Amino acid sequence: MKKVSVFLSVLILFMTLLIPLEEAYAFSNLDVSIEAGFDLKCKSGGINPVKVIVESKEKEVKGNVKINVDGRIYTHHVDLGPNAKKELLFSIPIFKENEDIIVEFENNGEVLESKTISPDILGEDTILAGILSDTPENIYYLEELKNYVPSNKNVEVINLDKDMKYSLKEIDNFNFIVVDNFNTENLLPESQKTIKSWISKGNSVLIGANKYDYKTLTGIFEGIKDTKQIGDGYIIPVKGDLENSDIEFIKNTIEKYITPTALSKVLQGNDLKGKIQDSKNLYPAVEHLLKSSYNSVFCLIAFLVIYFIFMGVAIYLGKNKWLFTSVIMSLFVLFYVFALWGGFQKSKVVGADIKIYNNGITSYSLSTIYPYKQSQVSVHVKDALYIDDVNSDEYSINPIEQKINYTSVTEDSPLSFYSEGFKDCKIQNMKVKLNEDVLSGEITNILTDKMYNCFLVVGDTVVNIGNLDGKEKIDINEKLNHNLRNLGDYNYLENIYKTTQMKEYQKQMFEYYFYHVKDYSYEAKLIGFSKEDSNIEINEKKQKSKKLSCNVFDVQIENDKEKTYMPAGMIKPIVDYGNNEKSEEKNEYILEEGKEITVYYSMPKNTKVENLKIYAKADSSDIYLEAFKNNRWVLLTSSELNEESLKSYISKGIFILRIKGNGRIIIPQIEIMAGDENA
Amino acid sequence: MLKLMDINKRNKGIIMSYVMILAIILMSYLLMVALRMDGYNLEVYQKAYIYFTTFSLVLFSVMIPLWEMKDETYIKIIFDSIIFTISASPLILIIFMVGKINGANILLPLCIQILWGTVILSIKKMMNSTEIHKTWKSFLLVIFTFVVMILSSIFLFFYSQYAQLVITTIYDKDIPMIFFLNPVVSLAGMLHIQMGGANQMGSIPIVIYFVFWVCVAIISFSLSNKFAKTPRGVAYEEK
Repeated sequence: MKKVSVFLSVLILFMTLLIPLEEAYAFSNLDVSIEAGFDLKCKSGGINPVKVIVESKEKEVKGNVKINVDGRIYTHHVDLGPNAKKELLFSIPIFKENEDIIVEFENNGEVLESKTISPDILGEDTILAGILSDTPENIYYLEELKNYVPSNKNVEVINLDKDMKYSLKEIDNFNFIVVDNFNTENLLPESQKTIKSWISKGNSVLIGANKYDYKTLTGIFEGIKDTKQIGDGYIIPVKGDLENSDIEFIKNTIEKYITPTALSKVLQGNDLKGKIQDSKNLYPAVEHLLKSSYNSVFCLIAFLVIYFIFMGVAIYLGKNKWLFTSVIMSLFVLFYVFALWGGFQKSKVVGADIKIYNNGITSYSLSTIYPYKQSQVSVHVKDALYIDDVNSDEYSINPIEQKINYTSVTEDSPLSFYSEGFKDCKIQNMKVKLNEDVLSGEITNILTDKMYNCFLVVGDTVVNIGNLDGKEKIDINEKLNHNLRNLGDYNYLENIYKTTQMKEYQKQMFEYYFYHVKDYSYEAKLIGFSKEDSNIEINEKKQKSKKLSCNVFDVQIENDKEKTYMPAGMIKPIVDYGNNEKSEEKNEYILEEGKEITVYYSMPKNTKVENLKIYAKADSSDIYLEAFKNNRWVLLTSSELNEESLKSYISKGIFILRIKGNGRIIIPQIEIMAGDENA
Repeated sequence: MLKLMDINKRNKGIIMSYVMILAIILMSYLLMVALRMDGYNLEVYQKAYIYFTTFSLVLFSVMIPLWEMKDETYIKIIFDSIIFTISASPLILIIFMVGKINGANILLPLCIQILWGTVILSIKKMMNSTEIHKTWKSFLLVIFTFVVMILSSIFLFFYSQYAQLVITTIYDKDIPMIFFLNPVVSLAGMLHIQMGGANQMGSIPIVIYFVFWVCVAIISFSLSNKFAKTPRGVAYEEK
C-alpha cells in the first residue's frame, strides 16, 4: 500500500511538471496577420475594415483578438482547433492621419502574439473611387479626375475586394463605384444588399453596359438599360468602353447625375466625431425617461389612501385586535413587491434616438445603462452599423458581434454609448399637394405609437400639427407663411420651438437632428416625438428598455399643374467654407475680409428650371454675392432669374453662388419653379 | 401568536397619526418641490430618502414614549417596535419608486429605529414596575430621549468646533466613538453610505450602537422583572 501511494505521488508530481512545459510550447503556436483598409489604404474620419487572420498550428488556440487604435479597444473571442485558420473582419473608425494599429492575441491576460502596423491613411477629404473589376489596371485612369475637383482635394482609386464583404458604413467612405468586367451575381446576397442600400442613400454606381454586360448586368443590376434611380442614388449604365476611356466623358457622366448627398460628401466630408461628441446633448432626453410623471405619483397617493382606509377600518373593527398588525405587515410586503416589480433592484436601460425614415430606417442613438450589482456589462445592439462609448474608460467594442463590453462597472456611474443603426425596409409614402402657396392633403402617423408635438417643415415654413395617435390620419389645409425665411440658427430653432411648443428635452433632440443629420432630399419633413418600449440584450439576457425617439418622415410634395414649385429652403444649400474649414452654424456665417464661401444648390434631376428667386439677408452692407455664369463669376444684381438667363447660370444641374465681404450673412435660400425637362 | 399581534386602540391611533404626518410631509415635498424640478435629479431623491428616514426616527422617538404598556413580554416589546417602524416603510418605498433609485437595503436602517424603539419601551417598562410618579416617568423618558438624541448632537457640534475637526462624511474617523450611540448620527451615517457617501470607519459605529443599546435594553428589561418581584409584592403577600 505504501509503495503504491509513493508511486502515485511521484506520477502526479511528474505530471504537474509537464503542464508548464505545455504552456511554454503554445507560445509559438499561432500566426496573426493584418490587412487594414481598402486595398491596404485607410481613410481618416471614417470606418475602415481591418481583416485579422489567425492561424493555429499543431495545438488548438483559444483567446481574444484585441485591436488597439489610439486607445480604443476592439475585441473578439476566437476558438480555433489545431491547424485551422480564421478570418475576422473588424470595422474600426480611424480619426487621425498617422495612427498605428496594434493587434494582440491574448488569453486570460497573457499576450500570446502581438503585431503592429502603420497603415497608409488617406486624408479626411480624399475622394475615393472604388473599382469592381477583374482587370482593375485598365480603370486606374480615373485618377485623372484630380484635375477636375477642387484643388485642395485628392482623388484615390481603390480596387475593392472581389467578395465585397464590407459593411454599409465602410462603403460609405466611397464617393462612387465603377463596376466593369465583373460578375455581379457572384457577390453574396448581403454584399449586393449593402451596395443597394449605399446607392439609395444618394450615391451612384457606373456600370459598364458594354461588351461585359453579360457579367455586370446580373444580380442586382439585372435588366438595367437606362439610368435607374434607386432611392436617392443612381445606377448609370455606360454603353461605351469603360476601360481606358476618356476622362472627360466619365467626369460629365458623374456630374450629370451627382446627387446633393454626393456633392456634400465631396465638399463637406463626414462628421463622425462630431456626431459622437454631441450625442451627449441627448442626455436630457434620456434622463427625462427616468423622471416620474405626475400620473405615477398620483397612483402612489391612491395606494397610500387605501393604506389609510385599511388602517382606519382595522381600528374601527376593534374586536379583532390583530387585524391592524396584519394590515401593516401585509401592506409592507405589498409595497415591497410593487417596488421590486417596478425595477427597484434591477438595472435600467434608457435611450434617446433620432430616427430617419428614408429608404429604410437610419437611427442615431444614445443609450444609458444604470447597472445594479453587476461588475461586467456586455450589451448587444441589434442592427448597429457602429457603436462607440461616450463617457467611460474601461470598455471594449466587439464590432463583429455588435457588442460593447464594460469592465469594472460601478453603480455610481451609468454607462452611455452611442450607436448608429440601419434597418432596410419599405417606408409608406405620404403625399401632400401644394397649390399657390396653399398646402393641402392628408398626413398619417405611420407608427403604431402615439407621436407628440408633430410638425411639418416645408422649405421655410413650419406647420404645427400637434399630437397624433398611432395610425391616425389628419387633414391639413394651410397657407405657407414662410415663417422660417432668412433666419439665423438661433431664430430658426426658436421659431420652430415656439410654433410647436416643444418641451426642453424634445428641443435637444431636434437640435441634434438639425446640426448633425444631413438630409438633402427634396421633400418636406414630418417630425414627431414618440416613446417606445423595446428590448435590449444585456449579459445575454433580454432587458426592457425605454426609448424616446425623434422621428423624421419624408412627405412628398405634389404640384397640381405640370410645373414643380419648390418653396425656398427645400433645395438645401451645400456650403464649402474653403480650406477644409467647418462651421458650427448651419444657416449663417460670419465672413471675414479676404475670405469667401461657395454655396452649391443642386437642382432636382429631370427638370428644367424656369424661374429662380434668391432670398438673402446680411447684417452689413459690405457683402456681395457672385453667381457662376458661363464658367465665370459675375456679380449677382437681381434676386430673380428667368428662363433665358438661367440656362447660363445653371450648369450641369447645379447653381453656384459665391459670397464675399465682411460681416454676418444668412446663407441664401432659393425658390424655384420648374417644368419637366423633356416637355 | 395572535396575542402577540394585539395592539391597544390608543396605540393604533399613535401609529396611524405617525404614518399620516409622515405621509403628508412626503407628498407635499414630492408634489411641491421634487417633481417641479427640470429634468431628472437622482441626488434630490437620495437626499429626500436620508432626510425623510432621519425625520421619521425623530418623530418616532417623540411618539413612542406615549405608547401604552401593560405587562408585556420582551418579545412583545420588540414586536411592537417592529410594527411601529415598518408602518412608515411604504412611504420610504414611494421615495424609491418615484426617484428611480436603484436598490438599497431599507431594512438595515429600520433596524436601528427598531432597536431604539425597543430600548425606549424597555426603559418605560422598567419605570412602570417601580413606584415613581407618573409625571416623573414621562419626564425621565423625555429627558432620556432628549439627552441621547438632541443633546449629544449639540455636543458633537461643540466638540467639532473645539477640536477644529474637518468632517467630510458622517462616519468620519475624527468623531469620537461615543457620539455614535446617538441613533440619529448612526442612522444618518448609514443612509449616507447607502446613497453613495464615503465610509471611513467601516461598520464599527453600527456595532457599537447595537451592542450598547442591546445591553441597555436587556439590563432594563431584567431590572424591570426584578423590580416586579420587589418588597411591594412581598409586603402584599405578607399581609
